[in-house]
Parts: sequence; structure tokens; C-alpha cells
Amino acid sequence: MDRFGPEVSDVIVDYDASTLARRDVRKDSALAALEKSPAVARRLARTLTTTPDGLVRRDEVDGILIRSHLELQRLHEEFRIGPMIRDMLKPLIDVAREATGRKKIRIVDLGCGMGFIVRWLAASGEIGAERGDVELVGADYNLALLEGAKRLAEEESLPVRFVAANAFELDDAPADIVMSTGVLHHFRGAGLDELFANHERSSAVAFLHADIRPSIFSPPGSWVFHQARMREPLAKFDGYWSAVRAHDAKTLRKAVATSAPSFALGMVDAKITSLLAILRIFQIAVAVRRPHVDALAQSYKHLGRRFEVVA
Amino acid sequence: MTYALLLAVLAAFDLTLAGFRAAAGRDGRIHKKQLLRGAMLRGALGGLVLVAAHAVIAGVLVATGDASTWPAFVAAARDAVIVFGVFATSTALALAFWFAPMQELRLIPTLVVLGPLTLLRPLVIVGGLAWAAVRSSEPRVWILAAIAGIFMLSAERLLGRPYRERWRRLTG
Repeated sequence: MDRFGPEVSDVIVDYDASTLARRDVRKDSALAALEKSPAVARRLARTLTTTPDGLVRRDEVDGILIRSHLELQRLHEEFRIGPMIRDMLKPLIDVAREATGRKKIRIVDLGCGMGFIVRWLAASGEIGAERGDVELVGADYNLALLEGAKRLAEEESLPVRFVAANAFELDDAPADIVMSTGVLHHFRGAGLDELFANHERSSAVAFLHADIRPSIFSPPGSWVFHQARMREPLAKFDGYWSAVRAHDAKTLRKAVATSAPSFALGMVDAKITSLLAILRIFQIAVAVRRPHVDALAQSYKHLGRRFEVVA
Repeated sequence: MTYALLLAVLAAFDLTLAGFRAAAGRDGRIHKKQLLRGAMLRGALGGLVLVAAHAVIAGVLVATGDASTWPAFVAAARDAVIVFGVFATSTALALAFWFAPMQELRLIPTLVVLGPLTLLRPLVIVGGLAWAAVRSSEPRVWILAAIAGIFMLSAERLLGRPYRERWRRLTG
């Protein structure tokens, strides 16, 4: 049983899991779903306007989500999340090449939102997307966010593609590496198990999921940042609440061991091993199929105590 | 005059950072160094305009006062410089870590300046001006402190206006 209630953005949009079609959300249902969340979450949901039949207006919600994602992008830029993901992803790309025997590796960003990370990776020119050695795909269900992501990528001529799809059920070719940033904590309990079961069933050879590292510092730190910097009230709350709800390494290890047993899981920065480590706010779950566990350990050896194979 | 100049420098420094914050988070592009530099320059120039406007207002207030008015302004400026100076020095010291040799240390400006110090900024502005005002018995000092407070607190919002349009366009 999840002891934390959901974030507001978890309950004001809904999709049909099989068709990915957007479903209407009743405001009273959204409020009921937030019963276990702090009162501020319900206050935020109450401010949403509705259609005459009590449905949350999609255009209003999409506007809030786009503004929130842009503000989140700013925090990711300021915390240098792009370079961090690049550095952690590069060794996985090598492992994936070795495992597949192919030079071209497809990386799919699960729940990409406005696609900041894949756009950043494409713009960095450091993982081979511009040469076609790596294909970057952002997958999300929200069409408004994807439209924004596409527009931004086109504006800067970035070699990245966005699709409205389940990251594990792409139409053309499956992912070699599945990745996400700040998404993992949205999957709770059975949902987290199901997420890793999807990895297990897929043909992906590796995954990388970065999310806030839970610690005594993260909820108050996150609160300060979101109060100080976010303009969108929903982003102020959801950003803080996501730090409260972040999964610890034990939860992730258990979920991977149960639902994705063919993967060997390593955690980067899951523990605060030095004073400098306090400054790193994310932890990263990296995994490869078990036959490649040695390559995984070797790839992150240079991180020393920051990296540990845990499952 | 020294205190007035110091206040001018502090205001320009504060509004340079306000310019950055006003533009950040409204443009989803990856390459936007130029945009952010422009925003900071706008902030700095806005700060100088604000300082000039306050100098004119202060001039008018002093001209309409008596012999004790100017010393009252100098004393209040000194008090404000102490409060804002401590805050600006902390900010500048944290910002110096941009140039640190280690990646983690380069996060300190973000962790210190863009988070806690940004949250504290309105309190410091109100506190510094209130401190300067309550220690003065000259009503003209109170007037200038109130005007300065209103402008400093609304500066980021004003500086952000040009960037809101792009935000709206992306929002649809």
C-alpha cells in the first residue's frame, strides 16, 4: 500500500492503457484520488475549471503541463542533469553495441514530456546521434507535450524523434536502451513491478532510470527550490511531492529482482558516500541483461564508491 | 555619495540575476546562452535605469527637505548597504563556484543562489529597507524606501514580460 497520495499531474490526465486514447477526467474523481495527498494538492485541483458536465478542461490542463515541463527543464539545466545522463549513458551504449552486435543503438526516453533530455543529448553531439550511430526517440502519451517537444527539436534541427506511444510497444523497432528522468516515482507498488516486467518482456538490453535520490535533504531542498523558482502552482507542489515520493534503492532493487530478473541492476549515487555527494540530487538505476554484468561493473568502475551492483 | 554608489552597484547586481531568472524556464530550446546573456544584460540595464530614477526621486526629496534630510538619507543608505551587502557578498561567493574545478562544486551556485537565496530575496529587500527606514525619523526616507521596495520586488516580473510571449506560444 502506497503511503503517499499522488501528485496532482497524476490525476488530472488519464489515458486508456491499450489504445493510449486520452480519457476524460471528472474533477470530483481527481479530488477523490488526491484524498491521501496534502491539502494543497486538492486546493490546486479545485482551481481547475470544468466543462458543464464536470470534466476537467483538457486545454487548461495541457497548458499547465507545458508550463510546468518548461520550468522543470530549467531546473534540469541548472542541476546539469543533461551532462550527468550523458556520462552514465555512454557506457551503456557500448554495452548495448557489444550485446546486439550492432553499431546503431536505439534509445527510447520513456515519459519524455517535452523531451528535454533527448533533445539535450542530441544537441550535445557527444553520443553519436548526429552521425546516426544512436537513434534518440522520446515516447509519451500526452500529445500537447509531444507537439511542444517536436516544435522545439525542429527549431534547433536536432536529430531526435517523438512518438505518442508506449515505450515498449513502438511500431517500427524496439528500444535497445530504455531510459527516463524523473519518471520512476510515478510508478507505485504493482505499477512499478509492471514497469520492470515490461523491461523484462522487451528486447531492450539495458535501461537507465534517473530520479531524485531520497534523503533527509531532498524533501526540504526540493520544497525550497520549487517555491523559489517555479511559477506554476502545480509545478511548485508536484516538484516537492515527487521528492517525498522518490523510491529508495531497496524498493528499486526489489522490483527489478522480482519483475526483471534477467537484468543485473547497478545504482549510481544511491548512497551519500562523501560530502560532495550531498550536492548530487539524483540517483541512477542502470541495468543490463545478466550475461553483460561484468561489462556493467567495468563500465562504471571509474565512479568508485558511487556505483554498486545491487541485484 | 559612496553609499549611494554602493547601492547602485548592488541594485544592478541583483537585477542582473533577476533578469536571468525572469527569462529562465520560459524557453524550451537547448541552445539559449545568447538569450540568457541578453536577459542578464536587460536586468543590469534595468537596474541602472531604476537607480537613476531613484536618484532623481531622492534629489527631489532632498531639495524639498531641510538641512537634516541629506544626512538622514546617507545614514539610511549606510544601513541598507550593510544588509544588502551581506546578501550580495554571500551570493557572489556562491557564484564564484561556477569556476570550481570539480563538477559537483559547480552545482553550489545553483544550490545556494538559485534556491535558498532566491527564496530569501524578497525578505531581504523588505527587511533591509525596513531596517533603514525604521532607524530614520525622516519621512522622506520612508517614502524612498517604500518606492525602492515596490520596484525591486516587481522587477523580475517586469523583466520577464518579453519572455512570456514565447511561453504562451508553446502553451498553444
